[in-house]
Amino acid sequence: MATLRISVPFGRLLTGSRGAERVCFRARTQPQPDTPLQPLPQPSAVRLLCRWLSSEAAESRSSEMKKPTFMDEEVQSILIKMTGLNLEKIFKPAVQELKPPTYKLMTQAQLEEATRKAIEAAKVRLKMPPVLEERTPINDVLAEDKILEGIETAKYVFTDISYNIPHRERFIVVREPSGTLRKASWEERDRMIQVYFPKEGRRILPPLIFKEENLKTMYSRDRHVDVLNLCVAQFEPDSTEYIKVHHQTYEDIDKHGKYDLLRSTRHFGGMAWYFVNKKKIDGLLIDQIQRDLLDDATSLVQLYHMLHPDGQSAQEAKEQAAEGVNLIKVFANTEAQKGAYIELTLQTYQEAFMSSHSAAS
Amino acid sequence: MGYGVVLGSAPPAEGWGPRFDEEPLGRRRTGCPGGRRRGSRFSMAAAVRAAGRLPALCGVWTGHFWCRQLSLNTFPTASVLALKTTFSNGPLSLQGTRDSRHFTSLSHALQTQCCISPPTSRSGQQYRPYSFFTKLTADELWKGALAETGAGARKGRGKRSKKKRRKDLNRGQVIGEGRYGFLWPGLNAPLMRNGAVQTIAQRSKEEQEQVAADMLQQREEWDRKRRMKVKRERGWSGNTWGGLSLGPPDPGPNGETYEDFDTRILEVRNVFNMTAKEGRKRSVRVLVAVGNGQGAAGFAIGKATERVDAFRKAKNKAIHYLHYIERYEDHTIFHDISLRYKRTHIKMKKQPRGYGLHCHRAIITICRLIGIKDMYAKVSGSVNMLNLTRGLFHGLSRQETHQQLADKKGLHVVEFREECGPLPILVASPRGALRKDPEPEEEVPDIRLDWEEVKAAQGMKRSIWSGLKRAST
Repeated sequence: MATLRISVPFGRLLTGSRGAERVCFRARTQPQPDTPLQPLPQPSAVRLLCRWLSSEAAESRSSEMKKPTFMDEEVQSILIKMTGLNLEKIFKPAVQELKPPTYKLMTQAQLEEATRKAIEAAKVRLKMPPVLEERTPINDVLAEDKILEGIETAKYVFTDISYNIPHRERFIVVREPSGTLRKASWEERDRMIQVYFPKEGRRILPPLIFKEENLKTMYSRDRHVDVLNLCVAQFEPDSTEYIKVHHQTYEDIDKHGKYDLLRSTRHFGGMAWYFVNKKKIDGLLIDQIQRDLLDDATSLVQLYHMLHPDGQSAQEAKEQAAEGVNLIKVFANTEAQKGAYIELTLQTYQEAFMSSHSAAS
Repeated sequence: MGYGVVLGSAPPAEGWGPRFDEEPLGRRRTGCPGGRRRGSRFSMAAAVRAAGRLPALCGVWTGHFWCRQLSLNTFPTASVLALKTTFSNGPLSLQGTRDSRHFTSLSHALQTQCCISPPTSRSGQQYRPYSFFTKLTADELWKGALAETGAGARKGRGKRSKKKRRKDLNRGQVIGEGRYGFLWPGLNAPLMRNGAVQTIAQRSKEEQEQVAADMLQQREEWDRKRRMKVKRERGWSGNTWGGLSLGPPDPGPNGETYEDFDTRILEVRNVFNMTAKEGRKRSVRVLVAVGNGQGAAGFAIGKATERVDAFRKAKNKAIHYLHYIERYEDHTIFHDISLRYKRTHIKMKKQPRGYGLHCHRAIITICRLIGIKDMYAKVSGSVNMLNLTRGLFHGLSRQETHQQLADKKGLHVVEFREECGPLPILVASPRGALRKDPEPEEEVPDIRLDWEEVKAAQGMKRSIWSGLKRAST
């Protein structure tokens, strides 16, 4: 059974009550810091405490503790910084019944206050949907009653619809016509829960938009954000279709270089995490450098080093204690597939930078 | 059959020859107002004048047998002309029996040169080469037939169904074409062929029948086209002139054109005035609005005896009374306006894009001319068109733009849209000083409520017409 690492803001996203099975307290402890730019505030006492808590499964946890997860604060902070905060794009006019706008007369202070509130609302909108591993299929048979074979012609699904049970713990069983009583599979579970506890935006059967050809049409119209939003509404985060659709979308974005579509949306973090795990951050790096987002580029490379500390570029960067542009150059030289292209883009950027500097001065 | 000998009433086409309508042939102006009695005298003066116009034709005929026989000065030329008219009908008939002494020599010539057949009576139809109708011009005849002036036409007594239309009887007439189908080179056949001058020929019977049938069909087609009623464009409804377009105003004296302006009629009214001489005198009063769709618009009224003149006067006057109306984002007004102009109450509301113009039909027309695309307006009280227009322009000109509001109050004007969530959009900042103290905002706003709006908001309105959806404008 996969353990679900769930944090509180994640619980607020999904309206269905999902009880946290196991909330693991994870403190990031590392034997050596591999990101010199961010010194970890890790007093030795905390380290000892963590070791004492996780003394039982030390070996499994130590290998996992080295690898940062999606929900770590550092990772999240990097991803949030990279996502950006373009208010116009976040609060784009939604397709809805229009009403005439209202006008208010404000002083400068009031205007700033209103902008601050808008930024807070934007941050709530930018909460990232969770990235989980794929769930293992359920193949549990509860009873085999050969005496019932051939009596019925259809399967019967029995669902426990008590209100105060978390959906993950509900009992949903299926009696086959052959007499076996088995636990319902994940798809059947999702369908039954949607029938008895409908969630807004979710359909009982997956909509036709998730078919291959329809997805391709959506991609050709640059509507990746809509696809991902529909996917988050329809599927559970650890279901196969959810992961498949997300990965397909990310691949398509990478193929066409349309990274800017997801910037300032809540899916950017997931995309960056996927690329870093797959070691395909070249396209994203080039796009960031071309848009003069050097800080984002450096933080992306740092995240890469965090996730793959044993890689060549991580080692070299640690040796050279590289910072900023040099970090990117180190990465470009060592592990990048399109290293030359990255260097060329960096060069163009630096020339433009120098010329603008000289023009300004 | 023939169109008789009515002398030419239309401007001659190429090769028709001189006009005959100004000078009546052979009519002695007796001066008696009553009936006209015609003698068979030809006035030489008239004839000589007519003869002056002959050269065109005779020039064509030089070298041909006519000139061998005739000489202009020695011959009463009127008879030549009379002969010509008979050509259009066919038989080179002898005028002979009645006015024999004038025509004998000519008829001799004709007999020697051409084949002449005596006039055959055509089934029942009368054919008189010289009659009452040949003695008058087409204008005079039509004047008598149409009877446009007269007691019946005055004071609005004329019935619309009794109005006759004048028809040009010489349309399609080719001098040379006749019943017997002779081909006169230079007239209805080419003069030269391969460098040689052709002779007079005659069409075969079938050809002539064909030609006659063609002519008949052509005339019927002309008649049909004339009778076809041109459908007038429909304005606000079937018979009104409201909402119809008059095109752009006429160019000004200094060459300025107003091609981008469109004019629309708002009201056409027949007004009457009592005069001393005629009594009730009718006049047409037209209210017209012009606009170019970019914010410049104006209106004016024009009055004249005829409708067309009134349209023209109003159009050209309106272009001199233009207002410029500020619009928010080129599609709606800046804020809600409720005004009372004399006894007309207008309440206008700002609407978002795509709402359309949900207003009185006159206000829709005017807003289209101004360039406003989305607005709600309610007209209550009097719906007098002139006051409605004046009130509308009055209210729209006195709008306060966002920039003006910001300057007046010294604060930022910030827009909040439902579809954009909590995002504040800065629309205007004061150009002068920015105030530090905020605008006092009470919990209960100090505005005058409208009872109709309150009823609608509370659901107390029992009208069947509220909330009705019509075709979008």
